[in-house]
Amino acid sequence: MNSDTQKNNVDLMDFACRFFKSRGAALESGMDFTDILVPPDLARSLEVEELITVVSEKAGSKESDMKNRYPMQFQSPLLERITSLAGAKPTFLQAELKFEYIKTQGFDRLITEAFDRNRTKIRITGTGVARTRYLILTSLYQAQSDELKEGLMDFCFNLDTGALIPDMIEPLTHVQKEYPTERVLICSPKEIENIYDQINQNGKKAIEEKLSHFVESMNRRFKRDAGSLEEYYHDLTREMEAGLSRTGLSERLILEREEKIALIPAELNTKKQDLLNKYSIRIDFQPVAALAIITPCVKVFAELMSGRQKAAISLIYNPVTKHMDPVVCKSCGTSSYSLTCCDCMHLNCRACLMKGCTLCGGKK
Amino acid sequence: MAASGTDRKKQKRKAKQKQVKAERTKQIEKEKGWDYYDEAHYFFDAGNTDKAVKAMQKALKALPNEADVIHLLGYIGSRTSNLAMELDAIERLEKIGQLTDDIQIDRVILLLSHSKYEECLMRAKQVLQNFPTLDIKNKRKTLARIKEIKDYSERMMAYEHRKKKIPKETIPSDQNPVGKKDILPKTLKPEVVSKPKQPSLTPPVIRPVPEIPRIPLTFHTDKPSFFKVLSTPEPAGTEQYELLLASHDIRFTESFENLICLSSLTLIQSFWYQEETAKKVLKQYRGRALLSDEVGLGKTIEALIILSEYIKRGMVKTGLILTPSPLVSQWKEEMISKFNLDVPSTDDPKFRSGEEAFWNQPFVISSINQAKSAKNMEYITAREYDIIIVDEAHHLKNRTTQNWKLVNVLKKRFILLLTATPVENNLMELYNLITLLKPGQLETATAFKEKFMKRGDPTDPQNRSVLRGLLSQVMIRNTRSLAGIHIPPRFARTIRIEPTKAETQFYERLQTLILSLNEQKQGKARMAIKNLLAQAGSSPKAVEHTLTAMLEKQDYIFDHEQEIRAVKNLCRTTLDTPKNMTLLKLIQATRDKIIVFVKYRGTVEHLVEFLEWNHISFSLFHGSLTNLEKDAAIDAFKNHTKVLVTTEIGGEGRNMQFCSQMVNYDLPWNPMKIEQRIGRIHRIGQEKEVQIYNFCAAGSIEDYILDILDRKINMFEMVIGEIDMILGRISGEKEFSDMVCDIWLNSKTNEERDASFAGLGMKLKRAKAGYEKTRELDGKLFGDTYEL
Repeated sequence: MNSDTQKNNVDLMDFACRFFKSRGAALESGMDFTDILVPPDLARSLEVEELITVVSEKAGSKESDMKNRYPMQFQSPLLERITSLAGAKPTFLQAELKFEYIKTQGFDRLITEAFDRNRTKIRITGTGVARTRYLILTSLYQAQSDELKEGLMDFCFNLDTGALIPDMIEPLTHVQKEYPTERVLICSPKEIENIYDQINQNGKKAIEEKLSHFVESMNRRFKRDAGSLEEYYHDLTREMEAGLSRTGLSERLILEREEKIALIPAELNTKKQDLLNKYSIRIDFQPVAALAIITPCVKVFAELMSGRQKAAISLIYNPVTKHMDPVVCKSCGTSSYSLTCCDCMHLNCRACLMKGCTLCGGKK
Repeated sequence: MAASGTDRKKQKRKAKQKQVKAERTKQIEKEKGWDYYDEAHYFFDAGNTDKAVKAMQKALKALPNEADVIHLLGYIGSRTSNLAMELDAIERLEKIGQLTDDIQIDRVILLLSHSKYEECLMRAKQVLQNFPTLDIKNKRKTLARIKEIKDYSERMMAYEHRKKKIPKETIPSDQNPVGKKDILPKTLKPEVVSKPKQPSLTPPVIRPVPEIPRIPLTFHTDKPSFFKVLSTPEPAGTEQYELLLASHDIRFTESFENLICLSSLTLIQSFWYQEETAKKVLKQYRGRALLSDEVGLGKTIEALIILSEYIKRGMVKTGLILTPSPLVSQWKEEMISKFNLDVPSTDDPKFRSGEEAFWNQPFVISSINQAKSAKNMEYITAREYDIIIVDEAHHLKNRTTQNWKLVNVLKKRFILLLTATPVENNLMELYNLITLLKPGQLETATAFKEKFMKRGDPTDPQNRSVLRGLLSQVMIRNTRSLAGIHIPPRFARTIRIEPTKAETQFYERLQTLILSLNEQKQGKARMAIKNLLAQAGSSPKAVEHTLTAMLEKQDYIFDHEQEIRAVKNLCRTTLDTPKNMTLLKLIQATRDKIIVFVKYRGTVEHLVEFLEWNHISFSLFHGSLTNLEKDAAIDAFKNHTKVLVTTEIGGEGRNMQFCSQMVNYDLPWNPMKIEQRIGRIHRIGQEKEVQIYNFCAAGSIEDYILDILDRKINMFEMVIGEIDMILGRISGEKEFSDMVCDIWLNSKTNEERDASFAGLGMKLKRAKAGYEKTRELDGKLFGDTYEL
């Protein structure tokens, strides 16, 4: 398999019918087939007649010979055109979440459990129900080496805090949603910039993790091939050197052969570079869909104390994950469950704290 | 009871809370561990090994079973030559069951290089015990090496044991010239008494294992697309959103299991074995393969499916296709017509040798001769290609040639070599081809000769099963029996037509004009002359078109204008040619449908007039028709008309197997073009014997060509593709049509002309015999072993 999708169980017939319906076609279903009256524009884009019949894969082989009947099976040109059209334009969907109950207390325990505080102390000063915005960005990744691996990857961001939220996609499926059609949640350029940075920072790590087997397999194969290349050129050099000691060779011939031997390392390097190019992995990342969410949440106001220093922070209780959202490092912008601060009480992740806070240069 | 129930609930809750807390603590510990891991990485990269080691230890404490952490430990150990650390890492990997077979081998070598003979011996024994189950490359070599290491370790241990037993005082200083303080007991062998000696076996040559870098991983995010999606969103419905995600899911399943390029092929339908071959090359051979199908099975199509698939998946963005000169235009045509790939070639009028911009284009089709010329080679070898395809790769059989050296030096990720005859005279030819694909696959030339070649017969291999194993990793050779291609035979008949007086006069005047043009502007007017000669073989009407154009454009006229006008007038007086009458008789004599192939538009017009005049129902098929008109023409021919008049352009891919008779009204000088015409009806799906009628005027160039192709080498009964192989052997880089034209123009007398054509015929005959011998040899050598 080249994609990360497990053996696909998409019902192609159902997919095709939904596609046509969503584009304004009139459908009439029969057994193993559906007659479709395709709008003229769509028919032109799909290079089909206006009245067509799509038939299921099972019936496809016997039905496909007839004119205007299209079997819905992999590799069929019509299916390819439908998928291209359906996936051509990135989609932006917005949803509003509804909760019957949202937790209002017990955040002390949640914070203590969730966050690594090092030597800082935290005191909750107040809570309040608020609304916050999340964005689930679905991105297409394509990892190319001498084979191709592709798939979709979701990232969830809190647009208000800029934090990358883990484990929010799965529980979201159980939450009641409304899909307003009018209001469009627009991200500010700063927010988009932040999302882009976060994807750059975390996407690579997440992809590497997801593709670890693929990466390891490529490394293993590269190592194997490069090793055997080394061995071949080593043996070749040895043979050629041994050949020099043969009797009856003219000086010119010896010189020529020595020159050839001297060229071997360069040739080996070129071949190794070829292998490296063959196996090197390029990962392309491109957003294909976004789900913008507006949801009620609980804002927890707290005071962070380290020695005599104090700082006021606010944390967000996420009713979808039923957990606290991570905080954002002031230095590098990564999201973490670390409430560690520099001397000036700037929230910093552990790595930045070691290097020094970018805001004040302070360390802990 | 109630109270105790509440207590139980409380206890249960507390236990759960405790559990959750423990889990969270564990999680935090883990996170800290990863922080330490990052820290170790950071410090090591910064060159602070001490801090890196400290952080490493902390990371290991928190994450004792994480393979990544252990790998880093091993890495730091190897970079700092800290054996203990490396061994610790290996042991940890073993504990968590992540010790790979390769690392087991590395451990033995590592122990040996640090003179830990006892442990080395133990590990070597362990490896040898499990050797059959190990999944490693070069098993045979590794086995020999490990055995050598084991023996050496045993000897070294025995030697050290003996060394301990011998008191130091017994070593006389004068017998220790190299300063070594050890010696074997005197009683062992008299000759070793005089000088101290290491164990009799020299240590195995353990080459330093070269540092092989990890493959680079680059990450690209398209910033504008992020902004496009998020800054100006067009809200969509849930259905649209879900359909989009589903469409990607469907697309992902289209792995190499399904070839996504097939749906966009035009004018051809690929055969199952071509598709399977492409999949095998993509999945198993990973883009480096020798495609050696028997002649006529469509290696070009296989290579182009592979190329298109790579292009469609975005895995190939640059490529170079190298072919013998006569095949450049054929590749170009196949790529554009069947795969919709418009690739510049060295046959293009715009091409100028030594022009850097041409070679910098993403894809290029080049004759191998152009590519290896000093002017161009510099540009080709300076850049990197994603894929190289070499057609008729047997031209690379000799590694001392410039052809081989060129392909060897090209920077490439994928390479496909296409030849039906990988071995012509010597197995070393095969070795040289495979070495281009995968250097070292068949070891060095000397080793290959020793292992696989018998003395006395360079074409008969020994150790066949080993060789088969190695070749089957890079080579595919499908046979006709696998492909299941059974087409009825075809028969050709040459119909020699005596010209009328008027025609003879016309030919003679034209001949004089052509010779005069040739003499006056040798070389420059060659194309025009060649065209005129070929058109004369087609019809006077075709000649008239060209002469009119020459007069209008004042091309190559010099002081011949009057003569050109005279010949042009003669064209008009020769309308009802005997050729037409012969065609009419043929059409009337048969009940079957018949395809008439014509090369020139002028001839088509002339023929159309003639057929209409004689009330013959016919369809017309040529390149200027739209696709719909073409379909309609074929449809009409299938259902209503008896005759299809067609030019060579555009007929490929359309099923015409319902017809089994064809007429070459005029004859292309390029035998491959003739073969293409035949291929329209003599293909899979044809159920009847195919009859080919070749028309020619007695004594014309076409008469000579047919004499060679039909009578001397029986081209019309050969398998499609074989003529390429034969021509490839004689013409080198010169096309057959040019050879014919040269003979015609350069012969001063008829006798000289006859002799030259006879010479060419003999050459072709010899080439055919050579090809048949090679085909037989390759059939014997490879048989059906390398089929899918």
